Amino acid sequence: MQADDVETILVASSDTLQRSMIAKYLRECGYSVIEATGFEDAKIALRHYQIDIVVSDTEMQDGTGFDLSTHIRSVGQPIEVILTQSLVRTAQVAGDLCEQGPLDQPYHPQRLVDEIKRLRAVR
Amino acid sequence: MLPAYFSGAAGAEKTATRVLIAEDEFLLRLDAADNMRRIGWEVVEVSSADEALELLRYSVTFDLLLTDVDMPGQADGLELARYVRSAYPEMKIVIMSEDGAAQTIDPQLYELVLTKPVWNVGEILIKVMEAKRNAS
Repeated sequence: MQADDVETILVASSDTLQRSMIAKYLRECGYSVIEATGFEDAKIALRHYQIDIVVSDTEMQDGTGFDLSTHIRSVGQPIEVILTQSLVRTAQVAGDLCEQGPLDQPYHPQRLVDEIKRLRAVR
Repeated sequence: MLPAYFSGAAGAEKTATRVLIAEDEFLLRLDAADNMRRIGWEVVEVSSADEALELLRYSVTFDLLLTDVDMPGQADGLELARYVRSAYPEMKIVIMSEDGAAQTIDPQLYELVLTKPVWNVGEILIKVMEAKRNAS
């Protein structure tokens, strides 16, 4: 599906506009991007593809970003998770589950790319 | 308000063929979207007709709709196709259906019906878009 040296990012969000915008931006930055419209899609993607980073909305139509983080941790996959949020109350929970707290929305996609690069650099 | 990055927004400069794909089966949708991106098309993915209708009501424009028929939610792919026919008559419609279901679909609603599962859909759709260009 992609060259071995290209990192694959799973973008999980039920917000079509947000997901498409972020995915497009990340593709233009050279990443391979898989789009999941919700929690169940994201789980299927994790089963079938080698994912390096997950960017997930905290609230999706069939689950939450925390559910997805918990799922990733439970199967022991070494995947970095970045949560994006529209609800401030989720910040504390996100901090416990992920490498970092959620990014507030709306945010510029470049901020996400910077965060991905920072995470990959410290790995 | 649409994000500035969303190039399908009204008034935005249009370059690549833009496709809206509505399919709830994730792996089929992913394969089709990946296939079309490889040929340079811009693809927006949704998993239901409801999401597609919401997007289209934002006045985001596409050249082609690729839709499943049966999807979760209030509207199905045929209702989506009817809306597109009336609101965006220039937009081509390709319907993916189960084997044998094509005979029951109003032929006015589509340019092409594909029987699922559909793989390597990009090459098929190129022909649909080439036919559109030749016709115009």
